[in-house]
Amino acid sequence: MIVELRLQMIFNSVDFLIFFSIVFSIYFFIPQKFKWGFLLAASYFFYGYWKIEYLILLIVPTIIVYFISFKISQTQSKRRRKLLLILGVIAGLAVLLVYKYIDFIGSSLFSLAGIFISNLEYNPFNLLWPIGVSFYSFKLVSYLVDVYNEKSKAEKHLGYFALYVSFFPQLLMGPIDRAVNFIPELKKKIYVDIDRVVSGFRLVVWGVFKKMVISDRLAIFVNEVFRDPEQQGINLIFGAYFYAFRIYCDFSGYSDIAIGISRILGFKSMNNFDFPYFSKSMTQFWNRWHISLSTWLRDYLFLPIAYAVMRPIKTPKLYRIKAETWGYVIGMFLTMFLGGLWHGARWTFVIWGMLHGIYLIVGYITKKTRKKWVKKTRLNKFPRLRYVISVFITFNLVSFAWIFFRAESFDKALSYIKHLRFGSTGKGTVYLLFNLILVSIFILLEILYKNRKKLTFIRQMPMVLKVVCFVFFICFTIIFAVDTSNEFIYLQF
Amino acid sequence: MFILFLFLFDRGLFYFISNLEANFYQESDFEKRFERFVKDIHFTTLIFGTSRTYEGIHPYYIEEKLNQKAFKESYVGKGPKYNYYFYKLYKKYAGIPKVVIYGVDYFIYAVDSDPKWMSRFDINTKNEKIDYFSSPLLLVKYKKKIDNFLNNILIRLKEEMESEISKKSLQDFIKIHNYTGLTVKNKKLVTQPYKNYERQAYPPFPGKEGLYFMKLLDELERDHVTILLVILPDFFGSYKTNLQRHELILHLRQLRNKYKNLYYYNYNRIKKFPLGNPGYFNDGGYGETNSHLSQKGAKLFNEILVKDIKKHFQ
Repeated sequence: MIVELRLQMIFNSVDFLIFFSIVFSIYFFIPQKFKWGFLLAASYFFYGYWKIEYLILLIVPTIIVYFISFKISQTQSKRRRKLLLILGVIAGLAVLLVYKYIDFIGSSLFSLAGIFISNLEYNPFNLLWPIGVSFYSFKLVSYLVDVYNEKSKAEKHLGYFALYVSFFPQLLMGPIDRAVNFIPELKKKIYVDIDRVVSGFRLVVWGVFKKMVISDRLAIFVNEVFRDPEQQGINLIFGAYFYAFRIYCDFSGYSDIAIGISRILGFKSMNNFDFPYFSKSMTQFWNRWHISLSTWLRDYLFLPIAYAVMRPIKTPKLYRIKAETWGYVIGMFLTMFLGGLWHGARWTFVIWGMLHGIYLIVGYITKKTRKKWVKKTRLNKFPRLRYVISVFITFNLVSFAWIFFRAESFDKALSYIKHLRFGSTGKGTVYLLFNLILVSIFILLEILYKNRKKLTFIRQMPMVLKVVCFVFFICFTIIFAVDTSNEFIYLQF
Repeated sequence: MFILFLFLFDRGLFYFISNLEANFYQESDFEKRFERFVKDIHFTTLIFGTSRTYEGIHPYYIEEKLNQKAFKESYVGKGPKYNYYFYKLYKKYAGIPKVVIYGVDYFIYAVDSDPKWMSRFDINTKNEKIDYFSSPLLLVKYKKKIDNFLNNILIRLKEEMESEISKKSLQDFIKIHNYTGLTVKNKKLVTQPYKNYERQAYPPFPGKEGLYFMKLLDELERDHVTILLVILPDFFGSYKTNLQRHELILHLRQLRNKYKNLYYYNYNRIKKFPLGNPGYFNDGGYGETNSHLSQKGAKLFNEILVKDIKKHFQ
């Protein structure tokens, strides 16, 4: 598959700066009742700027899902409602399946058939997939299922619904907000609130810093290490750690910018990251990483699958294993498998997802044993030490899985792992040290940000000093930002 | 208050960085290292150019086939201005060469000489005037320059720590002398044309440093040096991307008419070199103005080149 990123209006581009300046300067002067129309037009322009003909791939599923959800809300018959739901889900996912997965499915099937039939060759379609399709498709599906489950009412106003699907700050890389949260925001009166604009702007700057200073700088080292893993020695270990920070800063940076822009425009957007690398366990990690996706996967995949597995088990245990455990294990594994596949039509993503599935399942099964072990070793008497050890183990497991996520192929991932060692080759030491300094600064800033409410010196700081610090931070960001910026990684998904 | 502080910090930090940069680029040992390297070797040929020449023309073949010692001074960021000053330095320590081979790129007049290289000469970069009111944010306006400076700091630290080039003074010159091209492809070669790929217009004379190029040619003419302007092969995709190739040829013809000792050789032609063979190139292609020869490509190219230029050494 091909993803063309050349002309899109990504957040760290001059084009977007101009676009947003225009939107922002007009937006607050528009009467309330026309605001949605203006934002919808701006969102379609934003999307069409990349490829105008692909707008249709956004608009058509939106209209179909709108009408089907409306029909679901008016239908009483359970069978008919289910049928409509299936139709709606197909309509919502059709673009995603065709454009993103057709070659993956085709080539996988042909490879499988190749075991039995010789000289079988798959000719890929090489379709250029619409950017943001994975995100807006999931919005459509969650909306449909919520209407079906009567968790939310079908929205009567097509414009509001279309804006929910295509709201430009969230369109390309999320967060995958729920209609039940977003649409009521649209109906509220929006006015200029300086505090809100300032706080949104602060978040945008923080996001730009994460993306352009941390992520893009780390990318230089990471790309080099992944390109040629042989004779890299300890660089490979740090390469995996740095990639963990790179992807976190890239994606959470984008989310911060998206949330900041939404806030400036008067919308509350769901938080997408909650300091995931400070997690004590894999379950906690998934509660803090890409929250809008993980909650989506939980609500629309894991829980339905788990219930579907548990329902036919009539006894409390099956093969001496609790029905609940069956539900968790099968539900989790399938969810993470599909979650991996959602990230890209490549087996490395699937393996990454499955690895996380295994982590979570092992974590679930060994919960009691681990507790006993903690007691036995008296670690429970040293909660801080226990916390540090837990965070360290979780971070290492996550970083290990990222190797599969980053590698171009399964073989390359294996080669990377094979060459992991502690010895230094002396190669790239300066860049390694430079990146270590960068990451340390970033961790320090994250800790400060995480504990900002507890730190009295920040709260009591005079306004002038706060402005000075903020201005210095902006200048620091400009100085250390990478000049030719990389696209955001999650734009590929 | 925010805007005022932003303005002040921007100017203050920019001034600080500019001074830091000027001090950083005072490389002192280059002349000594160069003198030590050239004093016992009689070079007859000097090779100028950018990274395309660095990957494409190799002293190794010139020595092997023509029995002539060639000194190659080409790399990224070594533009006409750098070459002009380098020639003066070269003359001082190595004498006047018999032949100068200049690898001419399509974008020759769009090239800037990197301050990192310019610092080798005793010309004061501090003198470059900066208009402090030319932009609302100077840090943004000069972002490329600042980024370049940061990279150069890292490169220098890397050199100091890893290969200690500045201490083992001759190492880098010898390395360049024996270099015959890259064996590993590390960049992308776009072999297929795609819809609306961006084509590049010819950046005309004088461009950024064209006047220095003329100054260099004048000086070479005065020194009776044979000047060979060589257009290196581009991968076919880049050849198609650079759509005003003829403009460059016309310009070189004008130069040939102007300078008695100047000859030009155009290898960016299918007749002269297999431009369509991806194995001969490391990168470039459709939408890319710039392509570099692979080791295999460079070998073939040098064999062709030495045959053609042999007569200038007789």
